[in-house]
Amino acid sequence: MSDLAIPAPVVVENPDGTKTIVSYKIDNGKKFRVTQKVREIKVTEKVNRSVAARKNWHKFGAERNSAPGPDYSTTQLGEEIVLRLGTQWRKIEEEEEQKAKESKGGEKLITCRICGGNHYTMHCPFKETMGDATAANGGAGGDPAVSGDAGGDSGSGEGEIVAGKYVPPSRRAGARDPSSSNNFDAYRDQRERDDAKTLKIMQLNENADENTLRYELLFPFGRIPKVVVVRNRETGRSRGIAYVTFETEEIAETALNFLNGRGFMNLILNVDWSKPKVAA
Amino acid sequence: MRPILLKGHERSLTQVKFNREGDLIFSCAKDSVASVWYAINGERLGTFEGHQGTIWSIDVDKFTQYAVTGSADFSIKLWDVQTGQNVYTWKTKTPVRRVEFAPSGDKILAVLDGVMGYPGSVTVYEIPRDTQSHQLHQEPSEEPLFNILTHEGFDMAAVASWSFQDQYIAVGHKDGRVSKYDGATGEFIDALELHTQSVSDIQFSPDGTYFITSSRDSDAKLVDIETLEVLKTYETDCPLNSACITPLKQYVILGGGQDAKDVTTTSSREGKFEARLYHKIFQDEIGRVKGHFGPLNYVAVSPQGTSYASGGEDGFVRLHHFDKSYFDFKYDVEKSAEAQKHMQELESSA
Repeated sequence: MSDLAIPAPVVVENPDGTKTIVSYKIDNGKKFRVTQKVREIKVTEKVNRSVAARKNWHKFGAERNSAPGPDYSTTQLGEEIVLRLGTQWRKIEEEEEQKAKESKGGEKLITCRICGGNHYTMHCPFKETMGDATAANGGAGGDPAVSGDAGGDSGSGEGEIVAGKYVPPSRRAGARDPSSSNNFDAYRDQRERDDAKTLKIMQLNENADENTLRYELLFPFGRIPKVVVVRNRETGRSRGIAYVTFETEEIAETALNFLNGRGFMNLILNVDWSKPKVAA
Repeated sequence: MRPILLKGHERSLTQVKFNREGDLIFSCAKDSVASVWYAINGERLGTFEGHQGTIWSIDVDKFTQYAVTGSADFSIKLWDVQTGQNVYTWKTKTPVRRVEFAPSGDKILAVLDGVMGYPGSVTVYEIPRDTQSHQLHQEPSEEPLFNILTHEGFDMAAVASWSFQDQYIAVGHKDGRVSKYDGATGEFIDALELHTQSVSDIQFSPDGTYFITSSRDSDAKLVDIETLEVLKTYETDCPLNSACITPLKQYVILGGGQDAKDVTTTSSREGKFEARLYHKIFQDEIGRVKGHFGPLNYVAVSPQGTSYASGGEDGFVRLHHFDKSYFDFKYDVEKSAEAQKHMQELESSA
């Protein structure tokens, strides 16, 4: 059993101000090495003397024998509440509700082939008047999606999306051929980030977090599905880069033109299209 | 803003209070046990056990030494906050609707129900304290200091509160009147027909010079105690149970909802079980806080103005620590006035 003896923990001071602690523990007869990287931050807080004294009071009544700290049976955290004050709060709330409703309905689940409305084609109120005209028009102009099919090349289909026509995901803008060799997991990549709608914002202020960006910088650009601020994994500090996914490509483009070179929190932003991750 | 839910009570809350430093919360409910909580994390410090019926009201003195509870079991109990021990009990003729420490901590008022042939009263008891340690130096007297019986022609009192330096007692009546009494003698000074229905709450401003009333007639009003002049009116669309004035920011928080008996027949969306924030000066509704699924029986804001708690008919206390957006909100006129002031300062310094 001598090999199960625990060596003394080793503390190494790193040059960036963090500490690495290597300690050992025994669990179920096995020896484990635990490596922790720690940064110590001293926070001085001024507290009223009587408040500090009350923190050490013993519990009484029904809590007499309870352990220190909140008990889950009596104290729970509620759901996050967004409190945005303003005289127009009712209007803003209604708009948001409307938006949420729209986004829930997806990019219109049902589209009429005649008028593009949100109903079945057979229920279209313009069926009698417009039905024939659009059909003739579509036939004469030739269908891009169909021509793309005929070409058989996935590249030619890119960007040629016609509203109301079904285009398989593999032929949509930005799609890559899952069978091609340089792209081992096209679907995973698509799920992670749609680069066509995503901007990379550089030279951000370190103090700008996701919420600040959402509410102070990006609020004119409608619903923002995703904001990610790139952070140092160890210190948690922002690296001054954020990836922002917009609802559509058009909004992303307007945002690019609007934000690039603009000042935000004392720094001039540098905005570019997000580039796909380089496959390892 | 992420609320902390305090689920220590088995029945609907009747009152929630902060102590002077805002680090403890006192809550009481229709079950016969009152609770004390740490405001910072919602941990329960303990319970005051001993009442036999609904506790209608609770209050704590400015030293956070004693708490007082008024109950429907015809008694008022004084508690040691640190140990949770019952220090003294006053027997009353009728149920106690409201208790409150005077700002000095030397007196308490109790609103006694007008039932069983008793006309109802606001009764003031003395708390004999040592001037140094603020401890009780002798047993309090069972006899009240004075007794303000309900004025002739008025309905009985529903709520009452002390003004600055124990100077006045403001009393809200069931018929919507508000009356004012001398805090030292109990002498009647003035009255005002303020609301059309019962006054449900009176809470004073931090400096004790004006107060807000809430009423079942859906209005809340800001009233000056010296002149009994109505300063501001906040109109809502549901019966109100409580109102408070926030320090730090110029807001008021109103809480209410439909009657408890109508709740089961309507959805929570229609019930208006939200805390409403109004701007104190401009009288506009500037926001709402959702969360309760029953009417709000009491809203209280911490004396520091950084958090507020609401107690609901649903049996929960929801404790909210305000976030940045609460403190940042300003009207355009406020912003432009600040900018103007800033420019003037720059000019004068240049």
